[in-house]
Amino acid sequence: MGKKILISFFIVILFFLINYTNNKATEYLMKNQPKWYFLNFHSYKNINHVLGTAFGLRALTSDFYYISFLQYYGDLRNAKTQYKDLANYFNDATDADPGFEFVYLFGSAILAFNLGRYDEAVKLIEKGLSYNPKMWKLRIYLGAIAYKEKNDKEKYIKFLEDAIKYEDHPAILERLLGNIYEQIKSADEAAKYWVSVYKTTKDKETKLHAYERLMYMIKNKMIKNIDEIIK
Amino acid sequence: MRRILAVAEYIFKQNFRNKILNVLIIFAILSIGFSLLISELAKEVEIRMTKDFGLFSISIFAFLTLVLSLTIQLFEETELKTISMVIVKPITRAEFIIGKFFGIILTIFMNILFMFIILMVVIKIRGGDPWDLKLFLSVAGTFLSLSILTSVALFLSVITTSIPGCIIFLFFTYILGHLTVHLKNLQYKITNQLVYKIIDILYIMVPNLELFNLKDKIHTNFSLFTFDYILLIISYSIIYILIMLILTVIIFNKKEF
Amino acid sequence: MNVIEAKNVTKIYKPLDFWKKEKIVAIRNINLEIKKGEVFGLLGLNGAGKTTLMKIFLGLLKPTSGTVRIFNDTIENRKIRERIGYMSELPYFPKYLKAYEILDYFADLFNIDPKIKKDKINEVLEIVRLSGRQNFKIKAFSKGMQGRLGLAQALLNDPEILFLDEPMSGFDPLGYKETRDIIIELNKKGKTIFFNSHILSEVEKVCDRVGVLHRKEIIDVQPIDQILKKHKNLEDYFINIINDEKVKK
Ligand SMILES: Nc1ncnc2c1ncn2[C@@H]1O[C@H](COP(=O)(O)OP(=O)(O)O)[C@@H](O)[C@H]1O
Ligand SMILES: [Mg+2]
Repeated sequence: MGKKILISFFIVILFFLINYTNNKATEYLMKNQPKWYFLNFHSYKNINHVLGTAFGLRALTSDFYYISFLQYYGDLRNAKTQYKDLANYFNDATDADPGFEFVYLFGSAILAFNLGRYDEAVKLIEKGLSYNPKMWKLRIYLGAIAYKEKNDKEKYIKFLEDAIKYEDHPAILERLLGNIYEQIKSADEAAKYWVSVYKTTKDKETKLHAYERLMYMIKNKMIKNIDEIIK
Repeated sequence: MRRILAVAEYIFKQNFRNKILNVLIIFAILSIGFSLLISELAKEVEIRMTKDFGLFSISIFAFLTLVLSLTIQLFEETELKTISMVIVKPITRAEFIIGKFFGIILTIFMNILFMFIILMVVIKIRGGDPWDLKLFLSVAGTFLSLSILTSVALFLSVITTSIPGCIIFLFFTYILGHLTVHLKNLQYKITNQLVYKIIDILYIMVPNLELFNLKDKIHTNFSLFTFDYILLIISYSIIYILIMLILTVIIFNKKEF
Repeated sequence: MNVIEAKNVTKIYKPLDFWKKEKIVAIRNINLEIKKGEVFGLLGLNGAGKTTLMKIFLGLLKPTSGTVRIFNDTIENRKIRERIGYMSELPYFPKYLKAYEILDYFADLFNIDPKIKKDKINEVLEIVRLSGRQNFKIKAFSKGMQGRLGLAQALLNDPEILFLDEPMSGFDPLGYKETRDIIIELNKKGKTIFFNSHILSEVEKVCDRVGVLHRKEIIDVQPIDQILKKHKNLEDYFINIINDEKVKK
């Protein structure tokens, strides 16, 4: 009998403890995620999102959206519509995993610098900054966008150059900058840049692109100091 | 103590001798291979995707390990009935339950460890950093949440003898466990008193597995991976398991064979 | 001296499904005493309640009413359980384990000294004649061999009393004889044996006393030599007594 009372007492204590740790940890968790991370009354519209949450695979859901985006962007038929749904993919991916920082970078770079859709790009950047204000790379993009809008090429380029100094910038920026160099700088300088991209880039496609540009320039005899540039 | 270890060892051995678990390991290897394939598609984030897919496979296969190991145990108890010969031995029923718990989580631990090592190798090959603390903590979180689910499974197995019933219930616990935080977050918007109370009850009763779901937050750079938080969830899991095991033993003590 | 004393033991099973009302009375008002050193055989038709009674002795089932004392104590006491051996009806073991591993597990449950564990396991394997098969997986065991393994695990702790539920049911005639020899051998060593069976010819050869469980109650308990004085064999006695009951009712 005494044993029973003791056990009941013990369970009650455990019950309080578990409630305490549960509340504390939940609080911690909520504090650490942006509001949009949690399901709300509109979440049912996006079934992937709900399923991802229920099965505990939000990060993977986010990856799924990213791959869907790549397919969408890679499909030339969508070029006709100017990739009008593009921003949705970035939005879904960052909803599922707000920590997928590369999507903010890549997404805003494509939207702003490739497609010239500044509003959508800024919106995405703002979402990223509201999630993590320390993503200063996004601020650089913001600056670049501002100058591009004003057509201030020099400052725009300056911002892009800053942006690619940091690791884990999207490789698309490297290509973008090279193409601009070809237009505004001397062929030699552009070639020099392509060589450095060829040597340092982590992206196979960009490497190939740099190589092709170089070959193109060599074929057309645009470069003066070939030997110096290609050592 | 020796008896607890004996039961744990027996269950562990049995799980590993059952070829089902070997098939699981093959599946794990396949799925990590698949993760390599997927990462081919998206080169700039391939490390991320390899990690995500690997961690996901680990958690799913660990869950399957639990389900299979539970099935094996329930089968032995309900069909083979060897349990009656065990219960009359000088072992208390509490020792038996605790032994069983450790036997199952040891199996899960070994499986997770095995898969984790493979994942680390894959990440290394892909040029990532396998010695990432966050990666390790995510896997540890998976293990903790499965330990909780194991205790829930044991509880379910003493209140029902139906194997499918037990598994279905466990599955729902898994799903609900990932949703209670989200429900709690919505609670303040709810005016209906009944729904409000139901959310409270679910939040308290259902194991809060989302707390352990670090693998979904592995890419955040500030965050949950702090000592305080880890300590909190470890305490939570230990207390939850304790409560479950006590309840299980209380019911098991009344059980007839 | 009595090793088991059952007083007014009744067991009513709860309905199998909770919505059903009818309760199943398995045994009613059983009074039985088992003496130290005897071989006691409990006879009864299928469904008479033999297994139920044995499980109540073992604490696997709790009596609805009445009391059971074993070694003048209760089975709840771990010390008491160290002194008994039990083999269930038709024991089956997990397919992928080896015979040795299973015995090793049970030996650990008995807390047998690790130093003598190996010898002990080999000894019981010897007794049940499974010596050569210790490293075989159960998958390769016949029903009879699994039965013998069941017997082996019950002998690991040198039990003072051995409970055997239908020990011969899975065996072939050679198995009958072997089991009988084992029982006689153990009894010579002073062990009390309580077993259920409906293989009357075997019971007749090993038992000191028999009890008949019929229609939920014990209707007769007698020493075997007394029975054999009045009847030509045990079967004759058993059929008579059951028919008598029928007439009475
Ligand atoms: N777990 C149970 N629940 C309900 N009824 C049972 C249960 N086990 C046995 N019975 C019933 O109790 C009676 C006695 O069974 P049992 O002791 O197994 O008989 P025996 O071993 O003599 O063949 C039978 O009528 C059987 O149907
Ligand atoms: Mg029976």
